[in-house]
Amino acid sequence: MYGAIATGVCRTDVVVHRTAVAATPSDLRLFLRRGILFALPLILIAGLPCAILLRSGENFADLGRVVDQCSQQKFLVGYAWNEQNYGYLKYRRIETQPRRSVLALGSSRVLGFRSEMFRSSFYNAGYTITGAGDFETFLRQLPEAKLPDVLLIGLDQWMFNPDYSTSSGAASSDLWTSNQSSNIHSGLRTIPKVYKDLFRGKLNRAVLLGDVAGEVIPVGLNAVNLGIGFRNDGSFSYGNQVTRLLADDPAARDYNFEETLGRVRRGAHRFNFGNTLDPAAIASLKRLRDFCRSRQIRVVAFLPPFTDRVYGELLNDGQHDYLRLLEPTLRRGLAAVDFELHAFSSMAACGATDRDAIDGFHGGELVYVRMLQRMIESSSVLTEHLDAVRLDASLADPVNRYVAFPE
Amino acid sequence: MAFNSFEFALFLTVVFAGYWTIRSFRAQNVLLLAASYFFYGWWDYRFLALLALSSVIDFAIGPAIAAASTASRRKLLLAASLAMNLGMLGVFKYCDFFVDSLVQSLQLLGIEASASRLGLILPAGISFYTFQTLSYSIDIYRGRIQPTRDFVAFMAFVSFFPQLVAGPIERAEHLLPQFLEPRRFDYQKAVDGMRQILCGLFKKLVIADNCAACANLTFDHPNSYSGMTLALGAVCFAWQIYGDFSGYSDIAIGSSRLFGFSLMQNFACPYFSRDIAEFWRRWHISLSTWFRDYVYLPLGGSRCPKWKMIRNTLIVFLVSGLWHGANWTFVVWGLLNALYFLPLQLAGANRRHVNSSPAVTAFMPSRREAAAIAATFCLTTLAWVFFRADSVTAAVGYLARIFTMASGSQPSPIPSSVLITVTLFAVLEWSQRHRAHVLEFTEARIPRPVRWLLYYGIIVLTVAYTGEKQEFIYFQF
Repeated sequence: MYGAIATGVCRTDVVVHRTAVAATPSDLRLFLRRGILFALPLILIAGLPCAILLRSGENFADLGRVVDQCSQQKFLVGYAWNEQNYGYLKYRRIETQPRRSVLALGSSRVLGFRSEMFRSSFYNAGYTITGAGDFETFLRQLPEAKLPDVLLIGLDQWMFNPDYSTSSGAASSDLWTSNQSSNIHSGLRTIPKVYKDLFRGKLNRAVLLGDVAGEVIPVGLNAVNLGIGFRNDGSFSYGNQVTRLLADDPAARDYNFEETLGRVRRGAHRFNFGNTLDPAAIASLKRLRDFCRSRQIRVVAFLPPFTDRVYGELLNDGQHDYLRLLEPTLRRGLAAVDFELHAFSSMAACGATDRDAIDGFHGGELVYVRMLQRMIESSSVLTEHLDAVRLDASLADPVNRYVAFPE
Repeated sequence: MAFNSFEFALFLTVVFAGYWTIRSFRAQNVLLLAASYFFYGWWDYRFLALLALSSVIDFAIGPAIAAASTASRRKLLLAASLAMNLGMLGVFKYCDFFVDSLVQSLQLLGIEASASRLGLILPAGISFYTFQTLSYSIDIYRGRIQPTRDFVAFMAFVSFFPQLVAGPIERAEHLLPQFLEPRRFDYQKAVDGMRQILCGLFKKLVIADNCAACANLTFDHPNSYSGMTLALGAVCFAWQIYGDFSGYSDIAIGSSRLFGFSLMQNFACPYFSRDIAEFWRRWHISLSTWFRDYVYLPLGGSRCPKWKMIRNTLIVFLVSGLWHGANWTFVVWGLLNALYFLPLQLAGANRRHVNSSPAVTAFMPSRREAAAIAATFCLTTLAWVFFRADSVTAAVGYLARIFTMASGSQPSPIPSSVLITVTLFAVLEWSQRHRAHVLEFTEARIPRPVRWLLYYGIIVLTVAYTGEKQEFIYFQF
C-alpha cells in the first residue's frame, strides 16, 4: 500500500490545548530568509523582461482601458508574442462601443478595410476567424444590439479545403472573451523570447527606455518596436513591412512572395493540397446566411486576392483544384439578394497588380479600395455605406502604393 | 484561481504570511476557512452556499449519528447524509445525463420521447468535497471517529483550499484531527513542500500542457492522422492526464505542508506498475481507497461467493468511471479496467505486488518486469482513449485506426521534442520511484549550492518549455 492514510486508528476528539504553541521563530525566519535569497536572482532575471513587457503593454496590459479610451485617443495595438489577444480586443471593442452599421469579419485578409473608406459607421473585426463555422459562432456571441446592418466577410479559399479545415482547430470562443496576455502563463512563455530579442538587438531604444510618447499610443512590442498593429477602427497597419517593401529590401517578409510560393509547392500552412470542397464548410455558411437573414443583416462576401503569381501557381499545379470548384459552387449554393458573393481571388480580378501586395496573400490598402469600387460597380448593398469620392481620391493620391490614408 | 497562476502565487504568499503571524491555532483555522472560501469563490461565487450547506448539514448530522440511541435511527441519519450529498451530486452532475440516456433508450425502442434538461453548471470540486464529507458521516456511523464540536475546524477541514477543488480526497480521521491541534512550523517539511510544488508545476506546465497540445490534435481530427500518430497521441494523453493530475496533487500536498498539514499521497509512479491491480494501488490513491473502503468492502469485498466478488468489482469500477463524468465513455473506461482487473482477481494474483516496488535491488528492471510494465502501460493507455474521446463511437473509431495501422493525410503533429521530454521525465521519475515525489531527497547528501542550482535549472526549464495554457483536467469532475 503506497498511500499515507492512517488506517485502523480510532481517533477521539483531541483535547484542546489552552495554551497556543507558536511557530518556532528561528525556523520560520530561516525559511523566509533563505526564500528571499533564493527568489532574488529570479526577480532580477525576470525583472528586466517583465518591465519591458509591462511597459510596452505586451503582457499584463489592461486592454479594457484601451478599448474604453478609443474614442478619445488613437492606439496602435500590436503584439509580438500575444497574437491570441487580438480576438479579445476586437470582441470587446464591438461589445462596449456603439453599434456599427458595417462590420468586416474574417481572418487577416479583411484587415485592409478602414473606416475612412466608409460613410457609415464601420469596424473591422478581422483576425478573429479561422474556419467557415467561426462566423456564426462569433456573431452569436455578440449581443443582439451590436449586430450590424451589413456584414462584410472574407472567405479565405482554404476554409473550403477539407484537408485544411481538419488540420486547423476551430477558433475557441475563449479567444474572444478572455484577455489572454494578462495571465502568468503567457508572461512566462514570453520572458525567454524577450532575452532572445535583446541579445539579437531586435528591441529598439523606444522599447528599452519606455519612450513611447506620440499622437498614437502603441500597445505591445510590435507596435512600439515596428509600428505594426491594429488601429482604433480595427484595420491593420503593416508598419515597417511597408517601409521595407518601399525600399525593396530583401529583409521584407515574403519578399518576392518566395515564402508563400514555397508553401504552395509543399502544400503546407493554409496551402494544403486538395481537389474537393468541404461540404461542412459550405453548410456552415448556409447556416450563417440563415442566421443573418433572420436578423435582417445583409451579407457581402468576397474571396480575397492572392497575388497573380501565387494564384497562377495554385491553379496550374494540379494539387489545388478545389479552387476551380469554389466560386461556381458558392454561387450555386449561397448567392442571394441578401448574400452577395464577389470573387477577387487574384490581383487582376480587383484591378490591381502584384506590386500592390504586402505579401503573397495580403493586398495593400489600395487593393481593398479597388475591391470596394468593384462592389460599387456591381451595385452592392455596400454602396450606400461607402464614401466613393474618398475612395477615388485615395487612388489618385495615396500615401504610398500600400497605404491609402494617412494615420 | 488555478494553481499555475500569478493570482494563486500571491494568494498563497499572503495566506502563509498571515497564518504564521497568528499564534492561536483556532484563529489560524478561521483564517484558513476565510481563505478557502475566498479561493472557492474566485472559481465561482454562486456555489459557495452549496459548499457551506453540505458542510453544515454533515456537521449537524455527525453528533446526531453518534448520539442516536438505536441502530435504526443511526442508519436513518446516515441515509439522510448520503441522500443529501449524493443527491446534490446527482442533480448537478448526472441528472441531464440520465435524462438524455433515458430518452435515447426510449427512442431506440421506437417510443417517441423528449425531456427538458436542467442545464446546470457543475460546481467546481463537488465530486471531491461531497466524498470528503461523506467519509466523515460514514466513519462516525462505523464508530471509527467521534464527531467534532468545533464548527470552524470542521468547515475548514471540508473547504481546505489546497485540496478542495481536485483532491486528494482526505479522510476525516486523517485530516480533521490536524485542524483540532496546534500546528508547528517545520523548516524541513516546508522546504520539501516547496520542492513538491516546483515538481508539480513542472509536471503541469511542461509535461501535461505540451502533451495536451498533441493529444488534442489527434483526438479532434483522428481521420487526418495515421494509426501510429494516433497511438502516439494516446500516449501523449496518458502523460497529459498523469502530469496534470499528479502535478495538481503535488502542488496541493506541497502547499499544505507550508501550513503544517500533511495530506495523503495520491500518486505513486503508476506507470511503473507491473499489473493493473498495482496500477490501481498507485493511481488516484485517495479515490480508489475511498471506493474500496466505502463501496467494495461494505458490499462484501472478496470475502464472499465468487459471483458476488465479481459483481462487487464491476460495481466499483463502473461507479468509479461514472464518478469521473456523466458520459458513457467514462462508464466504458471503468468497465474496461474492471475487465483488466477481474482475471487477476479470479486467479488470486491481484495482490502479487503489494508492498513491493519494481527493481528493488537494481536500477534497471528485469526483462520480465520491463515487459510487465510496458504491457500494463499499453492497457491503461488503451483505456484512456475512451476517457478522452467525445463518445464511445469516436473512441472505437480512434482505436480501429490504430489497430488497422491506417494511413493519414496529414504529417504527425507530435514534435519529437515532446516525446524526448516525456522520456527524460519518465527516467527521472524511475530514478526517484521509491520517493514521495520526484524532488524528494536527503538534503545532507547534496550541498545547498548544488540544490539551488538544480531548482533554478528546473525553473528555467519550466519557463522555457511551458506549453499552451490548458485547464486542469480534473476540474471538470
